Amino acid sequence: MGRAPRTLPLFPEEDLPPPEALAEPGPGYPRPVVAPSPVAAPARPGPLWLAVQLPALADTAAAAARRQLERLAARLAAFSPRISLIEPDGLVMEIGASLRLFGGHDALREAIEARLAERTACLGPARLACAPTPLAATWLARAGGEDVLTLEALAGPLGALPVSVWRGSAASLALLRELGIRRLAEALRLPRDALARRCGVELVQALDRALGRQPDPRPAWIPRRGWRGTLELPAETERHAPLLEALAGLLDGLAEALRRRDAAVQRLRLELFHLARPATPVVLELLQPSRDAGHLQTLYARRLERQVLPAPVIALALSAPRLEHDVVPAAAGLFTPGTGTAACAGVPQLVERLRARLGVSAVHGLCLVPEHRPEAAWQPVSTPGQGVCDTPLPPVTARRPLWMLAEPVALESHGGHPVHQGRLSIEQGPERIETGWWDGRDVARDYYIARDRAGVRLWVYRERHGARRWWLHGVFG
Amino acid sequence: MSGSGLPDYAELHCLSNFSFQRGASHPEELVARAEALGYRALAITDECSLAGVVRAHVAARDRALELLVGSELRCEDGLKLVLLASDRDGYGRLGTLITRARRRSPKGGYRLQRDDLADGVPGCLALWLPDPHGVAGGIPGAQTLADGRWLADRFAGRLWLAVELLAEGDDAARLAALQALGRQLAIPCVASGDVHMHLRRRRALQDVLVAIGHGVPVSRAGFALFASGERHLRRRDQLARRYPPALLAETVAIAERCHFSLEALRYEYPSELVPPGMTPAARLRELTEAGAVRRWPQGVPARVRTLIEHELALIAELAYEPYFLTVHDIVAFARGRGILCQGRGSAANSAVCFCLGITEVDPARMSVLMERFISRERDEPPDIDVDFEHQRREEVIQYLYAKYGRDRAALAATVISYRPRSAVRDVGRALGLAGDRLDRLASAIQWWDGRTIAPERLREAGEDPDSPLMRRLLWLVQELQGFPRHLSQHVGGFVISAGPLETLVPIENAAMPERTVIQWDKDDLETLGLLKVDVLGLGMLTAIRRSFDLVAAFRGRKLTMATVPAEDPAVYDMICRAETLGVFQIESRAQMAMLPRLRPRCYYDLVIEVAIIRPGPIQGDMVHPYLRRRNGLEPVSYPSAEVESVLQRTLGVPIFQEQVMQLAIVAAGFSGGEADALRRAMAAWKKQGGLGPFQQRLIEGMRRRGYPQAFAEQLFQQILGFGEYGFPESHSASFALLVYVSAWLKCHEPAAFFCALMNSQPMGFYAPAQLLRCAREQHGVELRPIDVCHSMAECTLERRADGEPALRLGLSQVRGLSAQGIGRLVAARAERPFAHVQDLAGRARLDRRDLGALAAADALAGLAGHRHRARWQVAGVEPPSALLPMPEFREAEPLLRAPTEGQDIVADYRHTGFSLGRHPLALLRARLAEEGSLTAESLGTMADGTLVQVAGLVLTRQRPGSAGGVTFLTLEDETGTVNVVVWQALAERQRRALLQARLLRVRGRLQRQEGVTHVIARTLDDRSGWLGALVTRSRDFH
Repeated sequence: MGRAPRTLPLFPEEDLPPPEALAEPGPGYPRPVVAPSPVAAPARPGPLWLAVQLPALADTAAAAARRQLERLAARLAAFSPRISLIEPDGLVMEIGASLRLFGGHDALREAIEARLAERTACLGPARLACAPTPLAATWLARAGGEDVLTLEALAGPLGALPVSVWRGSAASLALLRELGIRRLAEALRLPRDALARRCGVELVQALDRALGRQPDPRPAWIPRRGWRGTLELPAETERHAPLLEALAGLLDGLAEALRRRDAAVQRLRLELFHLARPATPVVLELLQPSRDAGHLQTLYARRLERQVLPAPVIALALSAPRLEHDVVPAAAGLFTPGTGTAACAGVPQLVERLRARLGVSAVHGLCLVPEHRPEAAWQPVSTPGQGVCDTPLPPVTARRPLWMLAEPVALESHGGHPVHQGRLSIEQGPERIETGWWDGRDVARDYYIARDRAGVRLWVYRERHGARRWWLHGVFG
Repeated sequence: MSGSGLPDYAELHCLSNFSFQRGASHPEELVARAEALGYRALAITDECSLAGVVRAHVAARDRALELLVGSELRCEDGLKLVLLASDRDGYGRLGTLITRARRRSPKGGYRLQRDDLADGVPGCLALWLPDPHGVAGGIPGAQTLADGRWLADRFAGRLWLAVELLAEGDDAARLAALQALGRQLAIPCVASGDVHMHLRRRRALQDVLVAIGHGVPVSRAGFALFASGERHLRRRDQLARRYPPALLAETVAIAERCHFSLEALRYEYPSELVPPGMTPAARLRELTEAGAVRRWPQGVPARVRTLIEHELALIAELAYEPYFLTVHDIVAFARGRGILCQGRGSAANSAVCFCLGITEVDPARMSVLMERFISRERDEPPDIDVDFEHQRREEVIQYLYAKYGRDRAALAATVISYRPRSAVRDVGRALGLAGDRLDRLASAIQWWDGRTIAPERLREAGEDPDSPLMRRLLWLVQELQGFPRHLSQHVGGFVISAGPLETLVPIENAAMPERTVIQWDKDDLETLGLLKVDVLGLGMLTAIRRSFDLVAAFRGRKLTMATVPAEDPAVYDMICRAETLGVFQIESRAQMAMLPRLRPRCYYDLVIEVAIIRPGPIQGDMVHPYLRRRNGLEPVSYPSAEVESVLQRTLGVPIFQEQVMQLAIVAAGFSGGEADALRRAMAAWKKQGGLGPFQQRLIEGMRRRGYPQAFAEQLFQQILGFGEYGFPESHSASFALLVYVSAWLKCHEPAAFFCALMNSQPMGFYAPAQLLRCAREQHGVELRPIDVCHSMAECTLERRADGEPALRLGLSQVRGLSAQGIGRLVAARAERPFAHVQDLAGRARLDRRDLGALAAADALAGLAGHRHRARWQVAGVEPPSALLPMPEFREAEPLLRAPTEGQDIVADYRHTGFSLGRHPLALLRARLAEEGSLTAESLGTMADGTLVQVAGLVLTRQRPGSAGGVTFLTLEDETGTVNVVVWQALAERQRRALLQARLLRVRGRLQRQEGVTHVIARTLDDRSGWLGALVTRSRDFH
């Protein structure tokens, strides 16, 4: 039989009455559709499902929970060919077919638990239960029930579970509470049609599925895989042209695969293999996912121009560790060039080309920030062009120099006048800026436009407090 | 130029914090600062508002600073200007203009159209504020020129171009551009400052206000913030450096053209209450005489006759007749509609008001009160508040609107100001805190923590009080507190005028539809001597009128306030036993604790009882001396015959506000006006200070008249303690009558009384659960459950076999049941009784929500059996269809377990707020007894000083400001209530349990004093978990 679950108790707020012997199911329930095996026959076991519940995931954002579940499914794929995710916090896997392979139920469960234990640090404790139907296994796992291996043994343990293992609508659960129904057995005892009329057909169907009276088809989890292609060169080479030619072949293959899977890539890794040396990696990161082989080819061409090769290349491997779904790649051929979008589309491509040449961190955009403090009035953005349009203009069009110093430079002063390669003459001002107290960098300055001896117009300011020093902050063009 | 060599200056464009979310200084601060800087004049020009001008007026009254009244206005098309009232007529037109713009917009906003200015607003001077972008670069834009020409046409000779140089880059160019524009259009230029704060250092707070107004954190408010703190009241030497002298001189010239002061406002009463050809005095005499005949059919007693003559003479001298006629008219309307009402206040308890029917306090019965009618010496305006049944007050308000029109009648405003918690919320949001963190922070601040926020509160909320963010927050919260946030409507203070009210004060829309408020609050009105009539709602009047109706219907006995048998000993016996739950005023815990000690035996004892358990007398230490003297433990003595005349009726202890004022007159030689000033200062000193000058005059005056220093000092201390909480005898006298009447009803007609209380909820201190328990256990009233087969909408009386009434609970007690559903249900049942649930649902056309509510409240027991079965049946009801007959389903009986007693009680509380079953603690008693908790009842047998442990539902938490940080709890178990005292130290230590427990276990020492039992808590344990899903709500009071 099954073993005691690891984590109990589960429904402390429910002061449940003792489970009673399950009465005959209410009228109208169909017989089980999965006929129980005539004798306990290990020779040909029926389906057996193992449910894994991760209560910690219930509080996680849906997308994050889904990723966690997919990762978990990937880890458990070795134990079962049929895994279904039960979002947000669980999955079920068919293990009946794997029992013999792993040496029986106990051994298999132990192996799965061991596998899970490696990951519980970030997922929180897992709850497991086995049952002949996926829903029953899930419910047992949610409530911390014991394993049930056969259909005919299922009704009793299932009936003892609180109705809240069924995740029906809030209204339905509230109704069950108001009817005084707290365990599934009590719901099973009610006339089936009458219950369906009041509570909705979902509960009745769920009960049927859990008890194996109705089939319960579930979408199988299909693993997502990356893509990898390799190509041996007919002859070793250090020249670009043959390398690019070979790469083009690989990229075509990738593009074809992406089209088939309706996916795109954002990160590509090219490995150049040498004889008796470690391979040279060339990684490409894109601003937007793409599946356009031509575009990728252009980017790689620029990258390889700069690439120093330590030795001749004998083979190439191109891999996309992750395929991006749910994106419509910009260059999918849906938009004809020449419309308004084309101009915008050009900016990311330009940035990609620049980055391909100069490196990712060397290229960034600027955006204006509505702020009175000059040093806080702009900020770098990773995607150039972002944020500029929606910035309102300052209330009075104050003059700002085109070239701002990264840090203001302290100026000498003579008789209260600023000096920079000679005494400066004040042309305009003051523009008083006193603000920024909220982030601890409060400023209080009077800005002036001043001209130096060479006739260059400078943007200088004087502190309003303390030493009242002069500073140079910018130069007008 | 003044003596200092600095140019004279008048600031003509200055916003106070009554320009909400813009101005960052109180009007008083602006006035004080302007005077300190030597300004010749200051204009308060709040945006489309005059809400701050009265405060500024009061502040400027005693200073060498002229106050100008004006407003900054922005038309919808962008045209912006400041209007200043130059004379009374201009002021009235400004009020009309503001009213028009405000009435077009929902509460808080305004919409001014250029057409509104088309008449040039005669009597007002205008400062034009052109759009800075329109003059940038030195060449005015076409729109700017057009605006200038348009204004110059309409404000010929009264228009200036405001030059506001605020260090925004190129002030020189800006000045030149504006001067050129002025020359081009022939409009003179004048300097002004766009002032938003009195000192530069308010700039952080000003930023916060702007961020609050925009609903974003300061860090994201961007250019909505000002670049600098230049918009403060600048020193004159700075102004002299920045502006050409001519522009500064022009400010003074403009100020000298303004001759308007708020002193010039004169209030005129509505005239329609006097028939043509009659004087107000003759009309008042006519009504008074008619009333006297009604009150004393056998002839007016001679003493009363003298009083009437005396009062009428005084009223005539002060020309207050229209005020009395106005109040009489309102009261007469209410009487005509059968709405119970009663006046209170100094003028209300007069023979004239008794004759007019404004009050029921019979002067023959309360002889002692008659001396304190409005007095010529005290020079105070008559003050009559009229309480009406709270459920029907709206009828009275609508009557006033209908009679005088919306242009002549409006409610006074209440200025809603920042309190610690709201300040923390808004400042926190402005500093970028959000979500849970902000909630935690705000909920750590309790109303009783006062104005300062202790660092422990922040730590409790998981914040570090020394972090820069929290330090900023604390400082800003401190500054923001007391700032006005918005204008709300006063509970019932009506201003009614002879002419259009808007020429007196602007009117704006309130949040409630069809409601308008003026821009001044009641203090402003009082300052300017404008009269208002308080039309207030009082729940107890509703309950009393309903009780009278029930008694009349059940017994055929017609009772009125005047005919309830007076001075019934049985009623006083009940009051002395403190069985006063539900009785007006004396039902609070503090009052109940006092009753066995004070032992009231007559009406005047009730007057004292109502007034003495107030923060004022408690803080002034008047309670215990009074009790000792009353119980003969302390001799009663008076330092002089004059003092005796004032204090005799309260055994030498000043208890009422009037006594303090009279003492100041008779013992310290104050004039009536000075005494009134003292009263106002008393009300405000906690907030503003300023009792100092009175202290000296009081003590010196009493010393001069031969009173000992100690007596004088003691009296002053008592005045300090009174503070804002002193309760006037004139109000207490009216309240005491309601106390007596409600106590009489509770004593002799408990079923009707509790029935009426239930139907008048929400009101009073106690929830229906406690009222019903008291009705059943203290007065033996039979309670019958809510039942679709018997209940009406409201609670009703049913006749029992023995002819006595039983209280049937009404359908409106069912939570979530719609009023329309109730109406259809009662109507359908009147045709014929319901046969089953489907019949009920079909004939009463109840939807699922209503049916579910009925089942959950156990109101279907008569048709369907226990709750679970009722729910099952209700869930199976098919919605009726117009075409098909009601479908009939034949279903097998479901196997549904009946709810347990505990489940039923939990459901009762959740769906009706009370239960007729056992008290929830009865179910937990075994468990409670096991851990040693006693019942409330058994405490009665314990000796003083015993260590005890009790547990109960927390009914109320009270932390009176007067009690020095002590919290009073009332716990309830199945045998009664326990009073628990929690000292401050324990409250700090166990704050969470104290504030959040619904079921609380207390260990502590029993204290018994003069028949009152308390438990002085030592430890608190939150036992709410034991209640499971039981929903109870405590009522927390200040």
